Amino acid sequence: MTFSVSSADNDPGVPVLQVEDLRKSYGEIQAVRGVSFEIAAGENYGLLGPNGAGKTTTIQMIAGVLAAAGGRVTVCGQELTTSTTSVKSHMGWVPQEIALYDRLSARENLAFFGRMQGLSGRALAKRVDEVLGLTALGDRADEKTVKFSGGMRRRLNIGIGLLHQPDLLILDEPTVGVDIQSRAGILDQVAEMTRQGMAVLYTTHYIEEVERLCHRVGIIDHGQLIAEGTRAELVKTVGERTRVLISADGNLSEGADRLSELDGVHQAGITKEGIDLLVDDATPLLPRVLETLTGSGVAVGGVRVEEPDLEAVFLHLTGRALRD
Amino acid sequence: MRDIGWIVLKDLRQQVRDRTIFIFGLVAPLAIAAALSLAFGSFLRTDEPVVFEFGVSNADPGGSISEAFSVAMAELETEGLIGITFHRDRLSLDRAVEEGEVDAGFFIPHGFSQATVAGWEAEVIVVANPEAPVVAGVAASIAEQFALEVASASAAGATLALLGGFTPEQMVQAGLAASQTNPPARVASLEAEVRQLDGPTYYSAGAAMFFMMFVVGVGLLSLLEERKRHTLARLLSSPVGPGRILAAKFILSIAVGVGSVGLFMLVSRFLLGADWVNLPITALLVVAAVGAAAGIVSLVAGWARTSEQAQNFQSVVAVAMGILGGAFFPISGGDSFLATLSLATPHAWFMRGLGDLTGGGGLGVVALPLAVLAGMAAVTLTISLLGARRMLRS
Repeated sequence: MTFSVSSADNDPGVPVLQVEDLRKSYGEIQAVRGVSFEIAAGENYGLLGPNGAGKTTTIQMIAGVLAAAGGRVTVCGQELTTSTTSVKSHMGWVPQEIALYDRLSARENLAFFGRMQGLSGRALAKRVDEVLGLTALGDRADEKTVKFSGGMRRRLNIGIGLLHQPDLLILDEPTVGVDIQSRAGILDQVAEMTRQGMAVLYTTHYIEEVERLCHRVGIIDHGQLIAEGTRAELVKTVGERTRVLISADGNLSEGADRLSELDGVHQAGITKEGIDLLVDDATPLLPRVLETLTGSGVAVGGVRVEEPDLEAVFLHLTGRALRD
Repeated sequence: MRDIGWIVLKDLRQQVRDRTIFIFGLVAPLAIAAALSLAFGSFLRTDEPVVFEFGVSNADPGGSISEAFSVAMAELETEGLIGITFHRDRLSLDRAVEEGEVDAGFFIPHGFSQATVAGWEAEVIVVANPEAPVVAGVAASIAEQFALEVASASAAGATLALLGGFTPEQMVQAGLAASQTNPPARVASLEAEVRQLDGPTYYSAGAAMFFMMFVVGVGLLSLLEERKRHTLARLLSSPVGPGRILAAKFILSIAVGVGSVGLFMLVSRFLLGADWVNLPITALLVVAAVGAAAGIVSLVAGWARTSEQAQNFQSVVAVAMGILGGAFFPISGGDSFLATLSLATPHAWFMRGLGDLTGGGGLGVVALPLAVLAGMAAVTLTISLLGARRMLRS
């Protein structure tokens, strides 16, 4: 499987994407509040945050789908405005939702969106065949997409974003609802594209995807970029602290409140599975933790002690678990 | 501009695969037009122009002007445009109209000629059945035509008077004689008044317009559908600007509407015997009517938040306007409130345009319906396009 990226005409000193003070409001709600970051060619930048943090709104403004209330987006040195459309040919956007025409075949979908990106003739036909191969849909190319499985539709959805070999690929939660096998394939493809020199903006709320793929990470919460750096740089902000993951059931809210009052506990957040703690030293603290939880009416199912990761960073920065 | 074409082609391909468009664009109108034509076609079917029977009662015998009116009516009868029966007095004329022996009548009151010559107020009384507004309109038109003739005759007479030696009565008679030099215009005008569409053509045109309203909103509906399926966002992320996307959707609506009506007109000619005269001008009427319909449907359906809701709005507009516009039963003509209201529909103007064409003549004959339809299209499409553009930017 090979990939090729066409970004030769870009000035190597100019970042592929520059986002400056991006803003968006919906009535009284400020969905995005002054987000700024840059991505270089061949770099995979992960935008990490919980659901509703403003990731998708930020991405849609960068892709030119949504009008920004303020700020600036520059792609390959060209500013994106409501009147400039040519700059969009440098970008490939893969929306979180499946965006396909059900009554058209995979080949027809690819050909149509390829034409919208300015491809035509033999170049278009060649790229359509390449992407069909890349997404392993070659043998189903002429079937209407309505007959496709979820994984096939997801692969085609990504393939359309790659069709015109953009300088910047924007992937908005591309693995949501995808089976494990397809997910691994998608992650491999993204990694390969980055190696080929494509800049990738990747949003997800899956920590493991960001840790595996991204060179740098921006953590977004309540519409603001609250931290940015490599994984190592971000983890360093947590210090020597340890993460304690407690599987529990019962009054988790009261349990977390009482745990946060204990000496040595820096943060306590609620997750789907139970309670997530950030502590100085787990070993002497655990008996008191269990005692406090039992006293709060929380039934503990298991305890796991881990070295700090991006989840711990998020907990450290916001006081909340990423997946609460 | 090629991207606009590709969007239209993509949408057409999807519509064709959906097949619904064939049901609304061809099968349903054919079935309805055939059923209506079979059931009611005899009321409208005429191979010859309609000939109305008029009664005339002259209470001003011997008067030069009243005699001129009788002569003018006799000329129309000779031309085969109307039939004439004379009645001895107003009472017998009223009875003849009431009992349907004649379609309408003219009563010339005593002293009519003298009053006219003296320049006093004088009138020919039209006796009509209120349940027959069309024939009443024709009778009123004949009376007005004659009044105009007399007025111009008076003017001509006055000119002759300047030359001297004429009595007032001689002046008017001379003027009337002079006005006879231009009878073809008068006959053509009346001929247009008494002609109308035959049954199969009327119901075919009505059904075509009625069902076209169900498909002509396809541009807006496909825009809403694209928004729902997230393909609109994907299009907006490509170098194609929102203006071009809207242009493509507008072209799609017009293409589907014109295609639907055009195909149906073609098929109805062979299957139902519909008679479409003057095809180039009829085609202009179709395009203008489709534009107006697309604008109205898009304007109303533009309030919808989803494509399903928009489809419901479209159906309500299509049914309401179809009935009001006389797509199934003729209601235009006359002065009723409903007839006035029907002028707000493209159906009424389209049917009127087709009816006008059957009387012969070119573009000038349908200038009014064509201008009204084009105006409707321009206003409603502009407003709905502005609304759709705002939707794309939000």
